[in-house]
Amino acid sequence: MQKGLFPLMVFLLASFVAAAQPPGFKKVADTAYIRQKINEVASKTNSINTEFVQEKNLSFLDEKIISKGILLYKKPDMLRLEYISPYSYLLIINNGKLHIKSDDSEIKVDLESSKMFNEINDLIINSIQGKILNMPDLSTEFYEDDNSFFIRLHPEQEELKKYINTIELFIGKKDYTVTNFKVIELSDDYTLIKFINKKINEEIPDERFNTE
Amino acid sequence: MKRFLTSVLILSSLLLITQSCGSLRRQGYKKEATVHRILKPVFPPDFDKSLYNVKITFGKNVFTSLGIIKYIAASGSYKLALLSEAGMRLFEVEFLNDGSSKVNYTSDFMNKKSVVKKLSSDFRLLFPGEASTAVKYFAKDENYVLRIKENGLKDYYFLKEVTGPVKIRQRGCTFGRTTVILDNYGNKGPQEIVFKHKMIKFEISFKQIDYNGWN
Repeated sequence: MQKGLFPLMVFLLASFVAAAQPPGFKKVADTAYIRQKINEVASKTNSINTEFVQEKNLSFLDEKIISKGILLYKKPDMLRLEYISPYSYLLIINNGKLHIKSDDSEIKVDLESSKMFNEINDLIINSIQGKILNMPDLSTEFYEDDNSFFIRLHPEQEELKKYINTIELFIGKKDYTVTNFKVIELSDDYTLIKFINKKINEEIPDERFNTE
Repeated sequence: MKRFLTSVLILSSLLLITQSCGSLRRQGYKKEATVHRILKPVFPPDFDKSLYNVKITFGKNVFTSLGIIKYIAASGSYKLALLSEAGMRLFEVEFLNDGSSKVNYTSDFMNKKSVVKKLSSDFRLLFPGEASTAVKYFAKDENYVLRIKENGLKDYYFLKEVTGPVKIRQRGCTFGRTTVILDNYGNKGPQEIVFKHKMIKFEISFKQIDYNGWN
C-alpha cells in the first residue's frame, strides 16, 4: 500500500508551496530578483513553526471542509504536520523516515528504500523553504500587487500532472515567506491552505520530530 | 470432464442458495410467507451530508482517509467520496435512485478495475435504490431480515424495529463476499460502518466525525 501514499505525498508537496490571475495583480516580467530573494530567505530559515487552516472545496458540496493544524519544520529535513481538528492526523518526516499516525493506525515508511518517496521528500522540503521555484519540472508565472507575489506553478512532470492541474502560491513581500497556497486538481476541486501565526527560526526541540 | 464440471457448477449453485437461508435458520430466524415490513434506509430522509474517518486495511497494509457522503437532492442520488487528510480526492462514486452507480473519479494510483468494482459494489449496499424489492422475509422477535432484489442482485438486510439495517450481507458464500456492520445510529444514520470480506483480510471502516453541525 506504499504506492497509496504517493498522492498524499504529492499533495503535501503542494501543501508547502499554494487559473486566472487574481484581481489587482499584475504580471512580473523579471523574476530573477524575486527568486534570489526567496532563496536568500530560505537559506536563512532554520525552522518554521506555524498554524494552518485548510479549506477543501468539492464541487458537489455546498460548503468547504475546514481543518486546522500545526506545521513544524527544522533544517535540514525534519517535518511535522499535525491536523488537530476536526480529525486527528500526524505526519512526521525525519532522517529518511516517514511516520503517519491517525486515530487508530500507524504507518512507517523508510524513505531511503524508495527512490520515489525520496524524491518526493526532497520536493516537500524544497517547497517549505521556497526552493521549489528552482525546480525544473514546474513552469512558473509571477504576478504581484503591493503586498504579495502570486506565483502559479504548472507541473510538467507526467506523474504530477496525473493529480495536479495548478499550484498557486502567495508569498508576502514583507518576509518573502509563503502565506497561502492553493492546489487545484484536474477536476477544478481545490485545497487552499493559509499559514497563520508563523514563527521563523524559533527553537524547536528535535523530539517533536521523533518517528519512533 | 464436461459432465463433472457441470455437476460441480450445479452443486456450487445449490450450496450458495441453501447456505444463506440455512445460516438464517441456524440463527433462529423463521421464514414467513409474506413480506410485511419495509426496508428502512441506512440514512434517514432528512440526511444531507456527513464526514467520516475512513480506515482501509488490506493484509498488513493500512491506509487512512476522509470519507464524505452527500445526498444530492436534485437527482435523489448519493455521492460518496474518499479524500486524503490533506485534501486530495481519491475516489468518488454516485449511487442513483434506480439502484445503479456511476464512478465519477478514481485517483490514478488506485485506478484498477478490480479495486473500483469492489469499492463500488461494497458501498452500493448502503444505498438500495427505489426499485429494490424485498422478495423474502425472515423474522426473529423484534429482528427481521429482508432479502432484497435489485438489478438482478440479491442481498440480505438485517433490521431492528427502531433503526435502519444493523447488518447487510451479500448473497452467497463466495470468496470476498461482503458483510457490512452498521452501529450507533444517530440523527444522521450509523456512526460506525464496517465492511468485512469473507476469507480475505480486507476491511473498510467509516467512523463519523463530529463536524460543524454536519452530523
